[in-house]
Amino acid sequence: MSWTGLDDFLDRAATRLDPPKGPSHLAEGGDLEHVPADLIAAIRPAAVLIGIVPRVEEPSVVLTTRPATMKSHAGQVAFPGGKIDPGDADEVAAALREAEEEVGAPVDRTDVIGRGAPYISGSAYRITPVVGLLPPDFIAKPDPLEVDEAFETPLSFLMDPANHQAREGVWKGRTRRYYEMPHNGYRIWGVTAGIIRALHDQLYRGEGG
Amino acid sequence: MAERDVKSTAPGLGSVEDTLKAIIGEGDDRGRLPPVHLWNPSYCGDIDMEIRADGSWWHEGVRIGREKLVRLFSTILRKDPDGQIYLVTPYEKIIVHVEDAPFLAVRVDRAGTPGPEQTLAFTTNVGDITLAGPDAALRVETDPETLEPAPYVRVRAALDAKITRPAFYELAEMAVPNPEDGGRTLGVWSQGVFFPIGPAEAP
Repeated sequence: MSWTGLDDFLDRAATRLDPPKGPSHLAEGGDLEHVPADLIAAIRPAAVLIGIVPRVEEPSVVLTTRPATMKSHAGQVAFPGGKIDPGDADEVAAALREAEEEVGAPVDRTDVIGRGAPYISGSAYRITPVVGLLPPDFIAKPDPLEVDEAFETPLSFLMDPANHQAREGVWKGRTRRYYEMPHNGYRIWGVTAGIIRALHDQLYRGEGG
Repeated sequence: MAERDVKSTAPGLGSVEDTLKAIIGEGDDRGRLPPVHLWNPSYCGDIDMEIRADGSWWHEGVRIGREKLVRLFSTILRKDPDGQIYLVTPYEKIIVHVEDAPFLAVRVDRAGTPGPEQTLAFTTNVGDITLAGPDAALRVETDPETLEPAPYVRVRAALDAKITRPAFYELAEMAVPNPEDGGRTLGVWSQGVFFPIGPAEAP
């Protein structure tokens, strides 16, 4: 199966992802084999919001570019999100808090649909992607300290595997595979593209194709 | 006050506040409708979005099944002076082909002191509640050929809900003679306004 519309996407997300609360069952994915050995014991929990905006004509996903001045992943395309703080009740709370801080997502008007499989990044984060439905009138208010730019990419584009370009690169002497899904001048790749690819597979793979 | 309190506890009728609480329950988000009247996006499109007479929403011939999504979209409906109904966001204005009315009133509750000052609260298929009265008129159109009544109640701005048959039967049960025409027509009171709903006797 592949993308047939937002209604179907949300139904799949609600039935195939882990529910917003409770234990998670989906198997971890990501780049565990690329986490340096000394960091494996110190993998830190993080969460991102896959914020769906139900634009009437073309439902979209909120993405950001990180300021060039940032310590890690500078200039890269990323979902709003970050580390779990001690004050966060859970991954969902962390994702919503970060999305509110970074792009002004209205927490009380965001409908959390579910949690995707945790994604282990090479930088030793265990990232839980939280799928949330934002209001149709959402306007991003990027915080210039954390976000260079907030933009939207069509969900139908991201959920089409034909747009998931498999790439290989040598990094620190090792070959790494990653995905890249360039759109409208934005280079969506690495962890963000990996999370999108995993979401696609969780929602559209198996159970009748 | 004391007398009014006694009356409002008459069987079946609670105060307006209690009745609303009972219908709405927890988690009410009606107060947070987006300010659609403020937006004038330059882009206008037609993507084959349709609201059928039964209140169902369709996009390119496929029904939008998810209730919450329909609810979300319903909060950005707007009827413009050109008579056309749109979905409006800060970025886009999309034509909605509405077969009858954009909402269905699926339930009516009567609250307050019975009589002219009672309040009729209509619940729509997407969870809005509208209180008939000076700001929300109730009207009944009659099909000139079939003489079938077509009742509507205003929900907000220029948007109406078609009152479903079961809700209309409930209204008919509450109907009283029109004080202004000697009882030739029947109607219902809500918030001090009398709304005629039909002739006293079927033709």
